[in-house]
Amino acid sequence: MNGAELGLWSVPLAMLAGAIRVSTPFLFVSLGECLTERSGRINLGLEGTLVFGAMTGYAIAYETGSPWLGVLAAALAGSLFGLLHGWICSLPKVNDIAVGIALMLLGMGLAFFFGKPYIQPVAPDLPALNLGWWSELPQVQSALKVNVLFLLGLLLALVLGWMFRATRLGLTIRVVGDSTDAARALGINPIRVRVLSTAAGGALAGIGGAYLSLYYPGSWNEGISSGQGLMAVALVIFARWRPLNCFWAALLFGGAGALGPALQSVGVSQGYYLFYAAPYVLTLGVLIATSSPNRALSGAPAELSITK
Amino acid sequence: MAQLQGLPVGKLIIAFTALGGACAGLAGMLEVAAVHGAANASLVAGFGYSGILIAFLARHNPLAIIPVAILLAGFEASSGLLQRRMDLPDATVLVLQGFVFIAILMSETLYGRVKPLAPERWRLPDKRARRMPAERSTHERR
Repeated sequence: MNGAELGLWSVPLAMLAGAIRVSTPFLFVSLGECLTERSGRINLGLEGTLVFGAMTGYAIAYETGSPWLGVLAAALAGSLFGLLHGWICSLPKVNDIAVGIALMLLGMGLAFFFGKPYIQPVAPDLPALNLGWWSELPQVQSALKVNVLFLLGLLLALVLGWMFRATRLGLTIRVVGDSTDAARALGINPIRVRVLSTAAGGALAGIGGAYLSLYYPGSWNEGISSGQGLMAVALVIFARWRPLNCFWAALLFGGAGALGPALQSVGVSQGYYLFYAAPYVLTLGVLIATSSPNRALSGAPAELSITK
Repeated sequence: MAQLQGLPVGKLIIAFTALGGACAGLAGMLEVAAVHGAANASLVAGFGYSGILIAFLARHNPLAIIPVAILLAGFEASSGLLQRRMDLPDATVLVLQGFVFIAILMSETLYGRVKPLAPERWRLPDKRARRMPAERSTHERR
């Protein structure tokens, strides 16, 4: 059986494959943003962190020959960017949204500046697990070729959800995100919690970037990110600040993004560019459908500057 | 507060967001019609993000936006010269912009703390401030 006999079934299959392949950077960045926003800060600079992480990961993987060292380096670089954002925003009167956009430009600029020598060379890729061994169909096999980072992301979403729900650390972050005054009264240092959460969120975004350059699409160039870092911020709102929902949102977004190419491959040639906009239309639609003029966003941390 | 005054807050927000979008669309039109002469993918140059930051740097003052925008455009325009004369990659300007933005946004924290630059000293004397000494003098006469 080949692709032609599979017929229209190849569309949902391609969407599943796309969801698994494309969603990982969204997943990591939105988990990082979720962690940061739960502590009461918005880091819009994750787009720059993502691109810088992609560059660092690729460069280190090329120099050392080990993709995992690359991922580690990307996480470190991301946490540095997070620390920088957290520290600058801790100064009084500094606007976290403006600093985020500035850091986005800086991160992309630094990545392009230092990444110039790494556009040509080929770095080793991250390994993938074949979860489709039970099937004869090559399409199913390629769809279920799952990267280890995707599974790590799923695990991380579960762990973060459990952390927010059941641990002292999660409670501390939630208190800081919901009321600075209450946190101070409890003897928590809100600034330290926010700086550390932003740094951890930046590290996750860096790992998302390493996935981009080390697995899919798997090379470093200046057009590597198509706004994943910014869309992830919307995904966190879409997911109502819940880590496991971030996972589903990222999958849905990745799947909708694969709709255009999938339709193109089965011969729908008219207007498939419109389907490339499907994920954005979907996000907008769901946000409008779940909104209400009578109440604030449900589940939003009260200290966020967009809800205050 | 605005709601207490009886203003239709929701409608105003929608109307002004639409106006803001119209301005951005106009900028895109100018970019196509006057600068490039054709629409293609190379139009995506991050002007939108720089625009948001320029608005922040100008402290949301429409008149201050003009000099700030011209300064930032000057950075952009220096890109070609930097590449040709100093053999630097084109991303240099982006790095420079990033550092400038961050430095200026960080200095926001110093607002009102540096004595010679305190906002009270530089404010134009308005009518109330001019009337004040006169009132005091009548008070002293009594």
